[in-house]
Amino acid sequence: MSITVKNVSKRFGHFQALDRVSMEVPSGTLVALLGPSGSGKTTLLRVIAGLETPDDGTVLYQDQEVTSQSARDRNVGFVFQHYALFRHMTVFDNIGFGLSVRKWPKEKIAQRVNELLHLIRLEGLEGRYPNQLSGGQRQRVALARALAAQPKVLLLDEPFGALDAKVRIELREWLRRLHDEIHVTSIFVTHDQDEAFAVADRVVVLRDGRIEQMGPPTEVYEHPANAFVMDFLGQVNVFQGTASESGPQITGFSDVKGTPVKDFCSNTIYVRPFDLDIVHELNGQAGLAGKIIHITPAGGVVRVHLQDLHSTARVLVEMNFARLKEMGLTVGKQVGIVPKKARIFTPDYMI
Amino acid sequence: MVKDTRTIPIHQIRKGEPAWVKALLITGAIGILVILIGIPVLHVFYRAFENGLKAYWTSLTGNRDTLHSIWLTLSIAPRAVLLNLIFGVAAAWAVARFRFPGRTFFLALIDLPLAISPVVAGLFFVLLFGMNGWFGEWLDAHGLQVLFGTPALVLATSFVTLPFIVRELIPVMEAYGDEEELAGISLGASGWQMFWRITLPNIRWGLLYGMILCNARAMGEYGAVYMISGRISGLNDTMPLRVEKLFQEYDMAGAFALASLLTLLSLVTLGLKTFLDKKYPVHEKSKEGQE
Repeated sequence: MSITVKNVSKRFGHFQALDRVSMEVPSGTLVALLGPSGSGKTTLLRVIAGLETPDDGTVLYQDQEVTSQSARDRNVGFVFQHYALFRHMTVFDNIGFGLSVRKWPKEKIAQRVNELLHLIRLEGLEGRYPNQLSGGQRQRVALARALAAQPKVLLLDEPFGALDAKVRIELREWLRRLHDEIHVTSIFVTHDQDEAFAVADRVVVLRDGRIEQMGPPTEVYEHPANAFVMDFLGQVNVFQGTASESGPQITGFSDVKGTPVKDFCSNTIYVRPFDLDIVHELNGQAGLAGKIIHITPAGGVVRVHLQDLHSTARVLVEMNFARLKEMGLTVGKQVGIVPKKARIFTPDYMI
Repeated sequence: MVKDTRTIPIHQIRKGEPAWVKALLITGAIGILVILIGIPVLHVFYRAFENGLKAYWTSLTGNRDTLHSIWLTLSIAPRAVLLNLIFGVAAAWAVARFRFPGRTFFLALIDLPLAISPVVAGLFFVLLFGMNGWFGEWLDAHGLQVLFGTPALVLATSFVTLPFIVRELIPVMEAYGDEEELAGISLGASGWQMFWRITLPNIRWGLLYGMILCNARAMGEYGAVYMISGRISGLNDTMPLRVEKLFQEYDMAGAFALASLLTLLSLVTLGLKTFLDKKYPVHEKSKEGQE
């Protein structure tokens, strides 16, 4: 079932949590609401769930308007940030709660709960209480409980926020596989861009109650709509420079190729760590002279932290491990930093 | 297992105190407790039983007015607790779950019965329901007797014991938050289903604790009840009023017998409270199920 949000606004006192937000979630997709804290992502999720009433605007499930419907009648599955499991009930009763309030017969409840226990791989733990489970197990119980009554929509608020790094990654991959199996329209809130990119079909980036950009992960990553999105999506190097019709001029770099821009003004120039390269000698090439101060491996890549010899600014470069070995780069070495790609944004995003 | 720091004896934490200071403080505290609480309580029992068990039993059951006062107190206290139970849950819910204008004022108002003299509280009810009071004429015209009757006794007792359940519930409800309740609603529960199946089980120990305290205070209430009861023996005398009356009439055996029973009821309450404290510490209970 598709979800449409039209011009939704919500205020808490003087705080504008949502400001005329509109978006569409196609049926069967998994969408991530991504943004820093206070960006309105959780409020948007709660408005969609019916746990919060918007001051203005409408929410539609398929073609049906549900804005004034209570959460109870919307048949959504909601997974809370801290799970909100019923602590006085066993795992079995937690999962079966949505069915028992709907007056399902006992045998059918047992059948459905067992099915879900199998799905979340917690068979045999149905008699436990929430405080006897690990964080990851609680999270899965919360998910099973939300899925029990076969909701039309699954909403998850920071679903992996309270888990440690390893369990986080396992669970998010499991969530993706689960989604591929059951195809329920799902929206989850996160502040972690890796998580959003790893799991979602579409990413919606929010800031200060507004949508900054939405689209498939690759598109958002490749073509960030503005400086905020660029900055938020990961570590980025910031240089001062000017944009001209022939391309950006980065202060310090002598000549850098980039996308030509129309406006002629002083600007901040953003370069992703992966769009910089390291060479032994500049040999008149456009670039900065830098000294390696730190090398950290991060998954498949290596992060090289350098110091610009002129401005003493820090520069971060990402490269693959093989190339680092081949070039024999070590801490303390003086090298040249050359850009492959740079990106310029207009000043109204500079605060 | 994380080591519980509360189990470390005090002398390990503060080594600096000289022994004589410790000894002085401990003896002082225990001495005051013994003189102010221990001796009087023991004395009540001593006086009650000084003529033997049989005399004790006769003093209690031989007097119809005394028996009636026991029955009256035992019937008023649960009704006052019930009223406060309903009010307490509703008020705690409002305060813990919502932010509304006048919330702070409302909280202060809840504490009023603790600050105000019970005699003054009793006077309020006389002003409200007495013949010259606001509702007096109307009540009289409809043949309703509030003042001097059980309704007034229940009302006055409820007023005096009002803060106990609310004050117990607010921190419990605030500690466990509203997420479980919202989860219940999002899973399709109605308001009542949510209350009975989620809210009530979560607050049950806090609620019971509040009820016990409320009951203890209700049984011992004297001042407010004194103002509005009429003090007619065998009609509207409660246990504390009856104790006072027997004492004034120099029926020491009867006064002490009834006083010992009242004390015993308080001790039972205290025992229950201590038992609950140990078994279900309210604050740890409310943290369960989180992280």
